[in-house]
Amino acid sequence: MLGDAELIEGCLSQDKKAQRMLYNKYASTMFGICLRYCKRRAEAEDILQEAFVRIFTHIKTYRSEGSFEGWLKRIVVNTALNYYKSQLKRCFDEPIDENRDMQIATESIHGSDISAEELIKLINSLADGYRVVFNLYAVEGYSHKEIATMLNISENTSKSQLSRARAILQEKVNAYRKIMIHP
Amino acid sequence: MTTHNPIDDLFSKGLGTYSEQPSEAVWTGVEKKLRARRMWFRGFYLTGALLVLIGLVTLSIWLYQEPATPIAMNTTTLKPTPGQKDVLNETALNPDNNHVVTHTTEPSSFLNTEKKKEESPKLNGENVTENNGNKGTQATSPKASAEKNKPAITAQNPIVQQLTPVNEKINAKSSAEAAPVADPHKTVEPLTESVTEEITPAPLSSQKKPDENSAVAPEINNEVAPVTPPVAEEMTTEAPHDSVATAALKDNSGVIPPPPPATNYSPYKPRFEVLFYALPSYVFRSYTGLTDTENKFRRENEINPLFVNYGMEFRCTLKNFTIQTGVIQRQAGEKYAYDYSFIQHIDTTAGHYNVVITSHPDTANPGNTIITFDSSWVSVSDTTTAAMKLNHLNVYKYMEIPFNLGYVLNLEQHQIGVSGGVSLGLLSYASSGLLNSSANEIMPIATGSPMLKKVIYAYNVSLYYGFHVNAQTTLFMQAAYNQNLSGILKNTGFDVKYRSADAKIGVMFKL
Repeated sequence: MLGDAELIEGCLSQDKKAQRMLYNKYASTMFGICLRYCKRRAEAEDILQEAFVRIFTHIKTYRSEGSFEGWLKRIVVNTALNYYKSQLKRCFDEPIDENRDMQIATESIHGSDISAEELIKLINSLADGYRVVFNLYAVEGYSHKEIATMLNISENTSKSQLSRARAILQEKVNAYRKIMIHP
Repeated sequence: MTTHNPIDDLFSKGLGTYSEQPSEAVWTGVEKKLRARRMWFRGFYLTGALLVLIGLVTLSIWLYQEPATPIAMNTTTLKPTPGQKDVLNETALNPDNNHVVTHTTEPSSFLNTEKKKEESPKLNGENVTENNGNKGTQATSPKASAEKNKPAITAQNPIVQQLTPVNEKINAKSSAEAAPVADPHKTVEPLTESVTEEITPAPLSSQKKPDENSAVAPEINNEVAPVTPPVAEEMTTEAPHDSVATAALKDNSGVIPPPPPATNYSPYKPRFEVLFYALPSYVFRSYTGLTDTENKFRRENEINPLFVNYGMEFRCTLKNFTIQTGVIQRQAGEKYAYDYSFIQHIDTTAGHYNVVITSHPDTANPGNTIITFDSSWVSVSDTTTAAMKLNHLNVYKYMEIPFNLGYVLNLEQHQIGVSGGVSLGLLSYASSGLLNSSANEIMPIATGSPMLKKVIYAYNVSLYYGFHVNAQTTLFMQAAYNQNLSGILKNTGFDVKYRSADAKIGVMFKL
């Protein structure tokens, strides 16, 4: 198995084998990211496809300063964000009931007894705006300031979207657990 | 990532390293897009290189193309009319300043200069062959003298061999009689005797090695029989090559007319033109079968209608028929701004090429009524990237057959025209997608799709203005309006009609 440096060199010289090997190495991880941003698998595959086209055509811009996998993830996330840009604009304009969010957010969750597939289903049940902000903040680790810049929204909007997403997810997790305990 | 919020922790731990294998179709799509991208870049650069190459060739032809030069100076100098001024509107290259000059050649003057050639120790085929007015002028300059000092050329054209004795005889005769300064009124004596012996001095014979120039040496020395008068035979020999000059000489006036204007072409000789232009175009799309709101929404969101083509065309015209081929590259493509969630973007940067056969009278002649019959094959392609399983290259190919009627008026340097007509568009190939009437799905379209009409009709009107900068160059502008008479769809619940207004602005070079 070739290392990242060799694969990058091969991709820079448009070597198809190197491109295929790079794809095989990272496709599943990147697809996991895509699935978190998309409601449908077909959409996730289209985003992954577009992201890898961008990766191969812009690989010369990779400076070897940070982790290559991190660079790949950023491209995939940005591709997903571009995908939903027009829809997100409408989502962020919707008013949010802050009182309801606070009430639900105080409940607690224990343990991690929910599978990854179920977690993805729960995330995908969120509206586009909530889903994207929650993913960026909770899973990817971006700050509200960074999210605001990426999505061209205010920090307060990012915070309120996150708050609402947490509340909804907590509600859904609780409901899921009740079903699992008392089927 | 670990945060203080239990929900965040739950999802970041559960999904941070989650992975799942995508389907094989993803890689197939990546390969296809990369290939299309490579092809597009290759085509773009090849088109650019081709355009640059054609432009350079055209420019060089245009810059270095000399005006039509009367030929057969050999004939006119060989057979001057005794006692008559031989006026030639000839063009010669003055070696001193490299200017194209027009001058009058006097027989005696020419003979005088040829005398200097005679004095040169080298007598060879080149000197004899280029026995024309230009040479006569050159012989009087220092550069010409230097030219004469070049080594003799040993190769000999058989046709030239026949000229050799004749010219030499003339030169020899003139060398004996001509004055240093030409006298335009001086009568040239008929050449009635062979001067072979005069031009065969011993030093010349000694310089010529028989094995080096065996084709020339015998003629120079003594093998050529005397010809009386020599010029008569020479005229016969040269006639097929010098039809223009010969015809002029046969004219009783003895005066060769000036060369015809560059815009008058012989209908029996093909002429070539190359055009470079930009074509800004504004496209309207109108829908039928949709509500006004839907129609407006689509028009506002589906297409940014202004785009620019640039291209070149190459034309070859013989008599009334023109064959034309062109390449058009769309520089600023139709920038679709779909607001539908399942469409990511549409890249319509595209290539467009056509081949047109036109029948019309010569537009260079004033006041022509032009009936055109064009047959063009057009291919337009663009790339759609949708979020659904419809990522593909959109390709539509039509064979367009327009019937246009036009009128072109030539007013000195200006050319004004108007034309209009109808056209049939025959669908030859389609591979694309189309939004359905509910705007929630893309419908795939193929050549045999029951949703596409196989024949569409359109009409067009255009105004043309041309300005002849010089005989070879014309600046032109053509404003046109095209509209579909029928839509392109059927069995879909709605239909699309296209209208466009464009302005072709460019330059045409006559090659």
